[in-house]
Amino acid sequence: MSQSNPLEKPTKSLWRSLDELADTPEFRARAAEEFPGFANIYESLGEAELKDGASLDRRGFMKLSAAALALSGVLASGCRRPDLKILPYARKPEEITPGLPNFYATSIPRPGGAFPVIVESHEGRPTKVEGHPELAVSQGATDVHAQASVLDLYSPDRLRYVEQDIDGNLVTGEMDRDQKQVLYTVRKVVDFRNNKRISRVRVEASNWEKFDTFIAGLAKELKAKKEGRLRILSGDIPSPSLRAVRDHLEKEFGAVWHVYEPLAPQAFTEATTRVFGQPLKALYRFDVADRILSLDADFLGTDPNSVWNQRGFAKRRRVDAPDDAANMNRLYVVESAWSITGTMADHRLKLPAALIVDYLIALANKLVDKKLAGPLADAVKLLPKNVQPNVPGYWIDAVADDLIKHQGKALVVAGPTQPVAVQVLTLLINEALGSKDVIEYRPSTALPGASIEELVKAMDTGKVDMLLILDGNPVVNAPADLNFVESFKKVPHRIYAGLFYNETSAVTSGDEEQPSTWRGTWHLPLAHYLECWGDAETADGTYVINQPLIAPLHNSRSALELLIQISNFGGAGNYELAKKKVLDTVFAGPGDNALPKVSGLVFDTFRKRAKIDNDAIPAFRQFVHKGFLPNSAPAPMPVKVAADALTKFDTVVKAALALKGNGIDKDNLEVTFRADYSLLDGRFAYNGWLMEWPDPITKLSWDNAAIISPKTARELGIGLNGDQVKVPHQIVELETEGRKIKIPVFVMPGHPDFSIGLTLGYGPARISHIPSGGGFDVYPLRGIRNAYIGKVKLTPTRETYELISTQDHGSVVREIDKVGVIPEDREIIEEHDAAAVAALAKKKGGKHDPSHDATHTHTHDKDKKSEGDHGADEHAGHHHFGRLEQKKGFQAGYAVAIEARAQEKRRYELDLARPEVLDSQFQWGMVIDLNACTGCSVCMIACQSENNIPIVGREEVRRNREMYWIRLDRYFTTKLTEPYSSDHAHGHGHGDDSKGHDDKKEHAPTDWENPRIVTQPVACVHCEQAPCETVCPVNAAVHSPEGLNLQVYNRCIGTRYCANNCPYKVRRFNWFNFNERQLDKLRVPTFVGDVNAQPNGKSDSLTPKGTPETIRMQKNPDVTVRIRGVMEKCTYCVQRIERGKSGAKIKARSLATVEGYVRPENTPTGKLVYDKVINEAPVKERNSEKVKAAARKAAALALGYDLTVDGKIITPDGLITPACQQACPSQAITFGNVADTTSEVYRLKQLERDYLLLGELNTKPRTSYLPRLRNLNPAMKEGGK
Amino acid sequence: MPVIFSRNADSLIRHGAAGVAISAVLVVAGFYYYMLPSYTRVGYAPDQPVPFSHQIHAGQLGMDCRYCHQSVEESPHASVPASQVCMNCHNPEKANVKGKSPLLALVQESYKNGNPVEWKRIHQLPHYAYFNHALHVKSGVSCVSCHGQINEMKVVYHAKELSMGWCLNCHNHSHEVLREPTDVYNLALQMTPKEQLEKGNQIKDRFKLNPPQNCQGCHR
Repeated sequence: MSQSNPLEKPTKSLWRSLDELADTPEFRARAAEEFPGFANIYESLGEAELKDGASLDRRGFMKLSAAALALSGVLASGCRRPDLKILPYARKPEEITPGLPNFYATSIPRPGGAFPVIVESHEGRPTKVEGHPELAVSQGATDVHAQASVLDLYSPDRLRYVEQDIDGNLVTGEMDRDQKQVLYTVRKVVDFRNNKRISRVRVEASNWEKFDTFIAGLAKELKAKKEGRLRILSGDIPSPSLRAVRDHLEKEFGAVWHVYEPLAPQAFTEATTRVFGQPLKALYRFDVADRILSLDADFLGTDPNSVWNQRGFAKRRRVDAPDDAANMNRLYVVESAWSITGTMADHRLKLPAALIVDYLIALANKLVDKKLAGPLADAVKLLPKNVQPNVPGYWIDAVADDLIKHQGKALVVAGPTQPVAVQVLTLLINEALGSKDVIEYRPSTALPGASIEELVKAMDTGKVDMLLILDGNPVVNAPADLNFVESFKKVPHRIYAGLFYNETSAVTSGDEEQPSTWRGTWHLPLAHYLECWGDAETADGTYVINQPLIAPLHNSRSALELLIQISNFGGAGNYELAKKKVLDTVFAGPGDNALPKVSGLVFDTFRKRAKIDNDAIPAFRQFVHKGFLPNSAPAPMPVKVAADALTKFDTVVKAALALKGNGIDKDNLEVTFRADYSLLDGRFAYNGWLMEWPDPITKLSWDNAAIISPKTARELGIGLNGDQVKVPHQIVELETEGRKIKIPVFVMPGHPDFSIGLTLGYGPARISHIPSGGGFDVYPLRGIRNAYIGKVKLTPTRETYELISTQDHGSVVREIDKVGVIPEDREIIEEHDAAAVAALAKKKGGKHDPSHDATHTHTHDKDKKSEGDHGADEHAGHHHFGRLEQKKGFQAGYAVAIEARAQEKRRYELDLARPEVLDSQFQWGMVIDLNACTGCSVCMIACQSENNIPIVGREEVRRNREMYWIRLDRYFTTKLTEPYSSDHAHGHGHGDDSKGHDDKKEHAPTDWENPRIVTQPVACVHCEQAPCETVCPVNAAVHSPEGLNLQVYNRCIGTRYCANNCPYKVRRFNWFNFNERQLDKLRVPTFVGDVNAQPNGKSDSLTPKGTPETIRMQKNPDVTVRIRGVMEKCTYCVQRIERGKSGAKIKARSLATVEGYVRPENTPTGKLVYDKVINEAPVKERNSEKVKAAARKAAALALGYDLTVDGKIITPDGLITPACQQACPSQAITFGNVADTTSEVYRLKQLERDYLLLGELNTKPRTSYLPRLRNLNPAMKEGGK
Repeated sequence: MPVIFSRNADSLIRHGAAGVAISAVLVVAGFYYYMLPSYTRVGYAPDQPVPFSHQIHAGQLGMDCRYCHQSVEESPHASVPASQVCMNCHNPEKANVKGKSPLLALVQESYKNGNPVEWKRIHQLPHYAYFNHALHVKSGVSCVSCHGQINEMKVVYHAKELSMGWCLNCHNHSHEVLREPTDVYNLALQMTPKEQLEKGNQIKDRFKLNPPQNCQGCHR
């Protein structure tokens, strides 16, 4: 590094990227432009086209303009509205009311346990997935994969036809996916390992009848042979009914079932088998644990149980009463790559994955030294004594002390990447610390089966006649050293049943070089979970239904049906019977009120689980309605360390210690593999939402990369160009055991040195419509021995690749002369030491009642009011708004303001942006608790699926044109801020009071290479005094009396002034008809250059219109689909607000008598709920106002309305929730009516910590934030060693 | 001095100016007449595949609107009835009202084969406007306020403008149309202007009505 390197002495404590930290001229230039390279007449063109020598002179431009005008003149004359049709049902299904959505309970089967959901359906089209509110594993929230799963249903990449391989002449051409009847198709197959096209494959569009005949014959043969000639390879499917069929197959056919999940928590299962004598799964009670140590465990992120984990964890981070700050949990994270969990850590230690075992050994020794006894002490005796981890001493001493001090409430969690030894030690430490309250052990629900290694061995020896692959993509994701493809080819009958065209389905159909070897292979379209009947178990073992919301779109069959048919289970040897065998409902004749007769496998399994012998039908109907069987989860089992737990313990420890080889340094690089936040193991690679969704940590969109630390980059001379990240990014070659991949590097501060982090699931060979979808396939490096951790050789290449990271996009702009650069006296992110917050609360009297906090602020405001006004007069011109002044100016949202409004009842004369008074009884507002927000970004996908937000493709993201209405800003921080106190002189806020700096304590880490991360969700904050509204020439940006900042699409002419003037950068512009064009051809051709030119020189003259019909089916009919040239942004989900309000009004008015109103608790339904809540309360409190209020609220919620004394509708909390709030697993977002003093959002806004983003601009944003708190351990003297 | 202007130059200019003025007036007037919804929409009465008469059903027979438009009280859409609803009366195997009429052939066919009858859409709001039927009828806005005297229409036609200005006019003067919610479907109800104002104000007060006049009310 050169002497002038600004990174040697960084001046910032809050930054988004290394370039910003270095504050290079290039960064400033880029940040200053909202849409780089477009401030010229070639508005819609990119730099790329301009470079290609495209040009357009003034004359040409005028010509085209004139032509366009003339054309519009012709079209405008003779306008009549086109005839439109109304197509009513011929026979209307009873449950459907046109215009109102239905909600059904179902579940998403996935490894680690099904996820229970409620799916919204509009006239038979499932559009949105929400979590099941009544089940512990979801509690109404979802993770990002559940949200995005609805798009998979409509994916144009789904297998649509039964296809059988045939040999013969090859026909050129590509498959036309939109063609209804395809006689045969030819598909290109790409050699995904070497990135070249290897073959064209001709497959015949067959049909199920042919398959049925074929399989009936084959099944008979196989049944006679037995001996494992039939093999099935599947993922971990958590379905009890499927297990019954599986058992049948094993018994009757001698079939062998293999289970392969690339991300299975194998080491953990093995460890529990060792320690407790049986395979177990653990559910962690983060809501109970006081101290948590995570060893490379991303329990808040990629863990299948992340929703449950986040909910529990957030419960202990929420600081409602001021002295809750002292009772927060404390999270220590030791990890080998940034994870969401790492960003939430109070103390984080970066450590290469292979060294974590060393650290844990040292910690275990220390714990035993400090008198922890039991099996842990025995285990420690077997550990090598010479292990000296290179970590600061307090990471062992202080952590051990802290854990011991909180025995019984302390928890150590090891991630699935860690070897068996680490898992065993972790289990033993937890037992020694007392795990009774913090861990629920339950029998593993994983589908048992033979391994994929055994399958490969059997295929190699020719013992397999037929292999049925149920979904998944083993050709890509099987361990590379198994060479799955070669063995796979040896099987005579390969049948692939899956959702998508992928590498496995391509190989199933063979390749052109040896057509004769490929006879008799099939691929079959499998039904999506929203298309089929089934059952499943959630992670905690609750029995849930899987019910269809739509008939199969592509003539597909479910796995259960297929297996029943093949195995002749229960005599159901053909499809029609198999379908009925899964679940059959026979309705009685018309007019007969008898319940329908139900039969089938799912029903039988239900009866067994519910232990009902006869007449289970009413209970079954209830089960389908509710989606789950109450109390069907097995109780957590008590565990006891087995006597032989430590047999051969030294061997596994040796194996774990061997992972680091000769240590990890410049010449001995480590490589780690982990689940990708968006694609997991690659199963979501066909999902456009998830491909575009920026990774929560790296903010990379559409791609993955090899993550390295700045030090690694410097020492190896890659990735960094002096003091800034090299763009385009340098590609390196990684080699392990002779297998190589090429991948660009991405430098992340806070990544452990000399460790290379890779995420799974990407690959350039995806046979997919997704625009330039890709990334880099890292599976070739991943073998059996280095499934998670391995050694790697790195060779830099001279190739480059431009990774697209949204981290610097649309950032918050604070000062005009420092565009896009966060000033040092920041107030964008507030990040406090929890102890300081607690101390402050104590100083102020430490009242426990949160409502007191409100009154306290309130009275204080009153005291300060005159003073503040005075001050403002005196220092007019250079007076900065303090926090209280910022809040006083509100027309609604803070108590002061409401009171002032009531007294004054006048217009805010100087408030140019808001000439009208916000006079509605509903004043919407939002509070986002940064202390609960983990940055998991599920809100982005929830918003996308609710609000019809299109994906734009990689190229457009590169041009800052992503359309997300809510984004997650990820900041690196190296210093904590001081908590705000109104006791200080007024106007104290960060950035406006220089005194504040003096007593600011320096909280490590100040080392920029070891920063913290804080994430901040930013959507439109709905300013009461909105800068966007004043600049719109056509009045398209307007305010509603309810305080919503509205964008009127049909007024908008696309000047984009509003986006320019928005300090929060939350407005999004439709540069193209993203919602109408084909997904892979979003860029339109123009007169200056054809941007759709193919490499072969061919080009389409016009961009084809037409989103696949199926994609349109996902759209929410309650939200306008925007067209090109229109500005859009977060609406606070105005459609949900209006749905809630109008529903309340309709119900209330229906019940209104001529003379008065009916309160919810006085209606029959409301009365039931009201009485229930009253009766559940303790006898003493039944007459208290508090209980009555709660009961009234419950009644109102059940009915959907509430009324005030004068008959106005009020909407109780919970009636209206925006999509982001509903999906949020940590409940960080609170939305509601701030004018209603009983609402939760009002209460939170009264907290003193509540701060406004860029509040001193006096935009009066309706969304405010609560700061991130770090519960620091004073004994952890970070910064010094 | 050479003559620059001819004798009639003055009158030419005058006539020319008058001509320009008249054509400008004509263009503006023409625009106002031909381009506004009052011309483009009002009176639109396409031929329907089945000549259903509201005059007979809702007028002479006095059937309640909700018999066919079933979801009007709960959903944003009033909904066009399913063929099944028609067949409650017109099914030759059941009540058999006019069961043999060839005019009903399409409906009967639809009921049999499950394909919908393709009705022509008459009242159509832009896609970005979200009208809620339930909310309006529950608040005391009668069908006739927007759809005209539907009980007298043999062929349904577009009676009102249904433009944004027209909507807002009513939202501003809702007392001029509001009636007792029980009278909403009483299409033949007549009130004197005085009665109407009295009733309207009474309803408005009773329901605390404050019809939205901001974008959020109708646009999402």
